[in-house]
Amino acid sequence: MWQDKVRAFFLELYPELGKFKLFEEIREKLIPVLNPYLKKILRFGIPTFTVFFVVTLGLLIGNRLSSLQKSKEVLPPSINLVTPPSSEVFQSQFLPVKQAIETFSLNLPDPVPPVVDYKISLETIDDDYRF
Amino acid sequence: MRKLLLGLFFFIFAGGFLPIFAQNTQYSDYQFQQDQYRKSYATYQLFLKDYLSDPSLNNEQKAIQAAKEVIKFRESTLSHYFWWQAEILKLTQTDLSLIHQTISQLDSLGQYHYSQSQESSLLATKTDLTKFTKDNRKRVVELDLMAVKAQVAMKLARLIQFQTDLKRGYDYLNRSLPNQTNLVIKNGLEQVSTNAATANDLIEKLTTQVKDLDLSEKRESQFYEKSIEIMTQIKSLQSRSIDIIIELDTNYVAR
Repeated sequence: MWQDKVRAFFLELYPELGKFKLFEEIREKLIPVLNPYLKKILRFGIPTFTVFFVVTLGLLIGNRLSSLQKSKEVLPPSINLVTPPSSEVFQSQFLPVKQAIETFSLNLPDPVPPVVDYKISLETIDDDYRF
Repeated sequence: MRKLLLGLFFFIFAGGFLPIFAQNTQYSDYQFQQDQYRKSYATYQLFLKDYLSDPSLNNEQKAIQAAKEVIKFRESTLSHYFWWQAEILKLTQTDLSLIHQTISQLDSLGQYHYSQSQESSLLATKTDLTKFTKDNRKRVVELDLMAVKAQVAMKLARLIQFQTDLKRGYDYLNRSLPNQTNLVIKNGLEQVSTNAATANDLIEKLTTQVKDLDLSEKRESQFYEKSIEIMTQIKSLQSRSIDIIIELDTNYVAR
C-alpha cells in the first residue's frame, strides 16, 4: 500500500520518526532501499525545499490578496489659503532713457586730457602760453 | 592634402593676428601711446638729470635722444587722444553744424600732433630741440581752444541725443493717447512740450557760447563752469520730462 511506502520512505530518511506510534509498526520490517548519498541529499533537501516552497507560496498568496484590496487615499485636510493673483509688473520702454539721463556725468573735462610735459628741452623755457 | 595644410596654416596665422586687429581702436592706441610716453619720460628725466649735473657732450647727446623719444610719444599720445574724441563724437551721429565742425577740428588736431611726432625725429642739436619746443608752444593757445570747445561739444551731442529720445517718447504718447480729455494726461504732455522747448533754447545758448569762445579773454575753467551750469539746467528738464513720459506710459497707455 502506498501509505506504508511513504511512511517507510520517511522513516528511512529520518530514523527519529521511529519514536512515534505511526511508524512503530513498520520500523522492524524496514528494508533500506535508498542510496546513502541520495539519502543524505533528500534528508536535508526536502525540508529546505519545503521551507522555500512555503515562503514563496505565502508571498504569492499575500501579494494576490493585497492586490485585491485597494488602500484608501489619505489626503491632508484642506486649508483655506488665499492665493494672490499673479500680476505682471509693467516696465516702460523709456526706462533705459531715464537711466542714461540719470547716469550722464556733466563733469568737464571728460575724457580728461593726458597730462604731458610741454617744456621738453635741455634749456630753461620761461614763456607760458598755457593757462 | 596640400590645400588642407595651406588652410590650416592660414587659420593659425589669422588666429595670431585677429586679436590685434580687434583691439585696434583709437582708445587702445591712445592708451598704448600714453604708456610709451610715461616710460620714455622717466628715461628722459634721468638723462636730463645726468646732463644738468655733468654737461658733457656724451651726456648731452644722450639727453637729446631721450628728449626726441619723449616728444615723439607725447605728440603721438595727443594725436590719438583727439582722434579718439572725434570717434566718440562721430558715434553720436548728431546732425548739428557745431558737432560736424568739432569732428573736423579734432581730426586736424590729431593730424597736427601726428605730424609733430614725425618731425621730432629730425631734431639733432640742443638748439633744434629748444626751437621745436618754443614753436610748438606758440600754437598751444589755438590748440587749447579747439580742445576745450570739443569737450563741451561732446557733452552737448549727448544732451541732443536725449532730446531726440524724449521727442520719440512724446510722439509715442501722442499716438497712444489721442484726443485726451483727461486733465492729468493733457497737463503731462504740455509739460513735456514746454520742457523740450526750454531745453532747446538752452542748447542753442550753449552752442553759441561754444562757437564764440575766446580763450584769450576767458580761462577754460570759467568756461567749463558756465557750460556745466547750463548743462545742469538742460539735464534737470530732461529728467523731469522722462519721469512724466514714464508715468503716462505706465498708468494711462492701454495695453
